[in-house]
Amino acid sequence: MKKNKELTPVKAALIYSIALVLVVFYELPRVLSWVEETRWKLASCEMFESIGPNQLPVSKAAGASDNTDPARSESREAEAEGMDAEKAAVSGPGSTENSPQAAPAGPNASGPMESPAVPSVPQAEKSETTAPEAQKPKFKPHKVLLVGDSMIAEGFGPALQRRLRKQASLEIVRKGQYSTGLVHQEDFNWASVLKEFIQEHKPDLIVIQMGANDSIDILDGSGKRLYCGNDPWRVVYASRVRDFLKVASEQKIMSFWVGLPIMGSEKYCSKIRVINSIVEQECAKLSGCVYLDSWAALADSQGKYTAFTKGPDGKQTRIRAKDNVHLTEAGGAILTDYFLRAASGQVDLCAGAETGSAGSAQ
Amino acid sequence: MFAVVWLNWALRGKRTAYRVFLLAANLFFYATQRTGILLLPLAVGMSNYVFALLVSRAKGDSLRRVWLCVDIVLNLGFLAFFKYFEFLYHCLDSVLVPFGLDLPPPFIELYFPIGISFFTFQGISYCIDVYRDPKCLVKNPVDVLLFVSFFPTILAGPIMRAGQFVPQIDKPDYDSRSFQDSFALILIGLFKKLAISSYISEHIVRDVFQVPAAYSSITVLLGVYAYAIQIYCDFSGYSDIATGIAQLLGFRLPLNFRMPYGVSNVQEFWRHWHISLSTWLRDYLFIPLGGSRKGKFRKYLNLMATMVIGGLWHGPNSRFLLWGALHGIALSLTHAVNDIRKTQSAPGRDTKTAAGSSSSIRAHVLKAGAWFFTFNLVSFLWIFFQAEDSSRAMEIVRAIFALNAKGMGFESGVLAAVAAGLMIQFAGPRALELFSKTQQRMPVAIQAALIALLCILIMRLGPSGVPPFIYFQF
Repeated sequence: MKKNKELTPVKAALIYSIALVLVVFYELPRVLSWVEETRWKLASCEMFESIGPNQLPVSKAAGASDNTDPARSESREAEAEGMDAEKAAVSGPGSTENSPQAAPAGPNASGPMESPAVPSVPQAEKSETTAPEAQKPKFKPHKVLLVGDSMIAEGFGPALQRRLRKQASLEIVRKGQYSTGLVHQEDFNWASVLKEFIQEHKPDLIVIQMGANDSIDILDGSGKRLYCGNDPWRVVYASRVRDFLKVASEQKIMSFWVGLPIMGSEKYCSKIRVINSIVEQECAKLSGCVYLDSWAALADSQGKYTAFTKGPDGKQTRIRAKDNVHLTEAGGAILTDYFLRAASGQVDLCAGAETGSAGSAQ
Repeated sequence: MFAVVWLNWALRGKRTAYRVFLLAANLFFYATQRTGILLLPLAVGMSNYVFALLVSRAKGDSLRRVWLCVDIVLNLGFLAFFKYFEFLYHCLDSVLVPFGLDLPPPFIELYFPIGISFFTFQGISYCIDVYRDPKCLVKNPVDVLLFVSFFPTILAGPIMRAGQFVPQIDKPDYDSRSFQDSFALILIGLFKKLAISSYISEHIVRDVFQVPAAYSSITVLLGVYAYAIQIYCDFSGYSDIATGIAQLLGFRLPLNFRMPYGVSNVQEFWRHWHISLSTWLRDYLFIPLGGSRKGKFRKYLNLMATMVIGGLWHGPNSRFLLWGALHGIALSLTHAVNDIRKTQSAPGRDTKTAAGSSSSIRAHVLKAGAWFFTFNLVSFLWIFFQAEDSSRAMEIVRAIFALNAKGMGFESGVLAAVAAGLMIQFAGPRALELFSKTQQRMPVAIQAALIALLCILIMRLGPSGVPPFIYFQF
């Protein structure tokens, strides 16, 4: 009798395995998304390798992306050669062929060329109204909601919150959620969560940064795998970005989507460029949504990825986390400066007048 | 997992096959972090095996000491290269700046090998043990590799000693009760990590430590207490899971936490918190420095040095230095008070003889006061450990004492999580025993279903994005 109750190694392994199978079966979507993330991490292991000189100035790098017309890429390279490296770097993903900003004639496209410090503010449809609007008094928000993934939870999000809250008239609410995005929506659906946040906090301005976890395949409703970056993937991802942005747009709340900055791995960079360009296009389609390209904000003077910058005291400061994706607080402060300068044409955040002490990566 | 546990027990007792299997399992597990870095625990293991062998065979104490020093320098070299390279590079940069020399940014971004601080310390302890007692020598190099790379502990401890681990490799028997306990330990560890640590991190700690001035004073204070609970649940949760997995494989690990927030002075705290590190520091740093054998002043100095080095073990950062130094001061003061008490109490005088009902109440009140003071002191010192830098730490302190009622508040769930985290250290061992006894009476299928149900409940309690274990960064 006692023998039956004894837990042998085989029984123990059996219990453990049955329990594991039950959990996996019950939490299948969660487990699948975890498997996908792990697969992605293993596949992009180079993300953790030493920083290579592979981060081209964006206009050139875009030419190297998988679906770019070589002829157009050549002409872009020729254009890039005509300007100095800094200017080329700041043009960002806005200069990709998918971008509504590709035409250099647009007022926003010329902006960065004149002033490398200000990123492009692409609004294809809205660009016509930009000039008259500049005469009007700028929109002065009272409550700002910062939303996004880990890029808002750490680095940029807290740095922006710290800067904005220096303005007594501004109320800031920050909601950054780790390991979330628009690809895996089983656990965390950003569109419905944003709706709840808006109902609860009633912001009049939303700042978004998201997409760092989205460079993975999408499994559609039928279980079909849509490979990251392919056309079907782009269509589905664009619709999710649209659904998310519509939540704010339909309630006439102005939103800024701060594009993701340059990353440390070339493979990851190319996927992030795709994500940035999709977001940029979707922002351009909706009123009140502004895409701010921050690709070059944390790049070095050559437009390449850098994890360090020299502070005003001449000391090296780490601006990127060791994963070569996230920002440190110093990096967040640089991106905050960048954002405030870029947004100052559209909104009166006052805080833009103050520049951070972290300096610039360039 | 079934395959690993089953193979483990199928091969146990088969000397060579079992060692090959366990080493393969360890290396496979570490390779999932990153394949290239696999060589590091192997290099640490092999170098410690070779130098321990040289130490044991050397003729003359000076030569033994030389080999020991080489071993320690090599291990610390591994640690310094991967953990302190950036810091040393920036130090060099700071030195050169006044001379007009400008270093470029660090040319390589070194991957941080998770667990390096733990397995290098294990390696050092093995070689010192052999130096102190040559009988501790492990003859089979694979056993040293298994000791250094044992997969349940390689990422964040507990820090083992070779003398504890190696004899267990050849132990063929299993313990039925140990299996039951392992399930309970894994579940408690998951509960601590997902339902308490991750929840607290997401709902209060991260925000309060990033932008303290945005919150009311009471929220910041709660955030500080919450961090004390978070780091306990996070680290002890990992230790529970590691211990549970090791027990499934038939290995007993040293206890790493024993109700650390139930103690009434800082000296006691360090006997109950991260026990495997504090005993390591005691045995391989405090005692070689002279311990308490060279007078009281030297003892306090040794305590300070040990705590400062213990702080810097977490990383080359001023916040860890400050945290270690503050704990060193607190520890030295506690020792000093105890020393004064000892000298004041006359020999042979029994203080308990006067114990009446009133003095018993007084003793309880004093004990409660001491507990309250210690818990608050330890929680306060965690501010310096977790805050981005010392100016942020001071910002947090100012936000608490500003007595500001206006800022943002906290969710009621946070209070419940903090209370649960505080209570689990007392209730955990009882819950473990109750769970094991209940499980024993059930058939296999029901046991599996109960474990699965609890697992799902725990996963539901946690947030959707679970941050990594805090001690993985050290």
